[in-house]
Amino acid sequence: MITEINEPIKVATIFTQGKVKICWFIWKGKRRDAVNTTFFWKSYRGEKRIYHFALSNGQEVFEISFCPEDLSWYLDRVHLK
Amino acid sequence: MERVILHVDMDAYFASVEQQINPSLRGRPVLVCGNPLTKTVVASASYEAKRQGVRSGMSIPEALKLCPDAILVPGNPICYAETSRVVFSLLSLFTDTLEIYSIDEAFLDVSRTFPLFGGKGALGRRIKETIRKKTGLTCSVGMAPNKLLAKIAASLVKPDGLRIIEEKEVPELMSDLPVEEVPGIGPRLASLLSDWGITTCGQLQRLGENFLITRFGLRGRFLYQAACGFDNSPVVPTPPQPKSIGHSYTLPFNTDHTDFLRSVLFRLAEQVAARMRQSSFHGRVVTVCLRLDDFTTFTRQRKFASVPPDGRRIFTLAWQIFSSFTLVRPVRLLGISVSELSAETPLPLFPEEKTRENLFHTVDEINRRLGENTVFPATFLLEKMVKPPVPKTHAFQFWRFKHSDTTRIPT
Repeated sequence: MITEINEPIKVATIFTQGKVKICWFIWKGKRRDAVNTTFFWKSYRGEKRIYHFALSNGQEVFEISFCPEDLSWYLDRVHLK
Repeated sequence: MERVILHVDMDAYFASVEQQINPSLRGRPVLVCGNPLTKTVVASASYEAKRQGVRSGMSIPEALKLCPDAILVPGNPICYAETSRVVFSLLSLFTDTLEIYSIDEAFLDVSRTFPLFGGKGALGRRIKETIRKKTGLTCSVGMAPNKLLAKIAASLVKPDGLRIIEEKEVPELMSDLPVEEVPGIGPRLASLLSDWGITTCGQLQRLGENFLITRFGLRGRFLYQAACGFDNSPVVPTPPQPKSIGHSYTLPFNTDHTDFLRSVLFRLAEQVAARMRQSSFHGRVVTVCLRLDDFTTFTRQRKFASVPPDGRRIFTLAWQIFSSFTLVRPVRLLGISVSELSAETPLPLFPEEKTRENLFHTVDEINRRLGENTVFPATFLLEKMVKPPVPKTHAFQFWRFKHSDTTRIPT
């Protein structure tokens, strides 16, 4: 089941050598670890470039997005098993 | 110089991307479709679903009958388009002659570059490995002396295969090849040929070029040449100017509700007009396509002195054409296209035309900067006001949308 969320979230990320490693994020007051990034893509919202990441913790997949222009992170969708 | 054309075809593309995004879908039958809460068709089926007979374009109930365990996933076109862009940029590392054939297919003329990569087989394997490493996706690669044979080669080894067809093996390969394997021969033509007892390209060749031209006109020549494996078409890196610009839409539910159909037609007209403005095109012919709930399809067109890139104007012309249909059943799909395009833009003669041109320029600029449909005609909202009936099929219970299909209203 996929649930559309579209809520702002707090994300712990390491930006290193042009790559992004997402460690964990907080949603609904709970910390969710990102075990691995399963997919990555980019899109545009008007002129704004948005970076999308699909993160898996083994149970669920979270699609989150980052807008470098306003440094905001969003949880877009959750795939539940 | 030996001509070597390479065809890359991504395997079950949309479904494979979804299986990459969500690892729990891997190895399971996945159907990518539109919003599963509305009436939709299969846009892409994973190989697990294809093995059970599901094909792209099938309605969801039809697909679920064949594959009851299928998992429905709403498509993510932006992600697929972006992933394609990544794949095509990887392919451009292997040649400067790359033709993007569709969102998941490309032709490469590697006649000059294949020796640099250690030969044909090595190049094919390298391309597959590069795509797999970067995206996790698999593709099928065909290599042959021309585009037709390269495409056939890739289709023969799906999924995740590599096939090289050498010039000398073409006659033998084509003689036994089923006619439906030839790109351009669809199920209807294959069925007609089958009624004549023609099932292989060898049998088609033996009918002779003259007979096929007599029976099918110019298409007969293509059929004969295709059956022989001939194709001189070049790999064209820059897409040629489009012959038409069109949009079609499968309605979320079958209906004959006039206001609803009117608003859908208006939105399609605006979409066509926006794309015409992007390329500064005017047109002359408007075509309206209509598919009823029993899949009968009607197409009507009319020629006008000029069709400007103005959604309201295109809609008015399209509505005239639409009104000439007598609706005996609910409508399933609507489409509009404008053809006989020309880049010559007539100067506006009247002040109202100039005002509308300025309006379009401003709206297009806002939507370019802030995102598609930031500003749109209020008529679009009418389409959202007619609610679809909720399907009762159990498989739709997989899906729940917290903010499903919401209309973006500018704030």
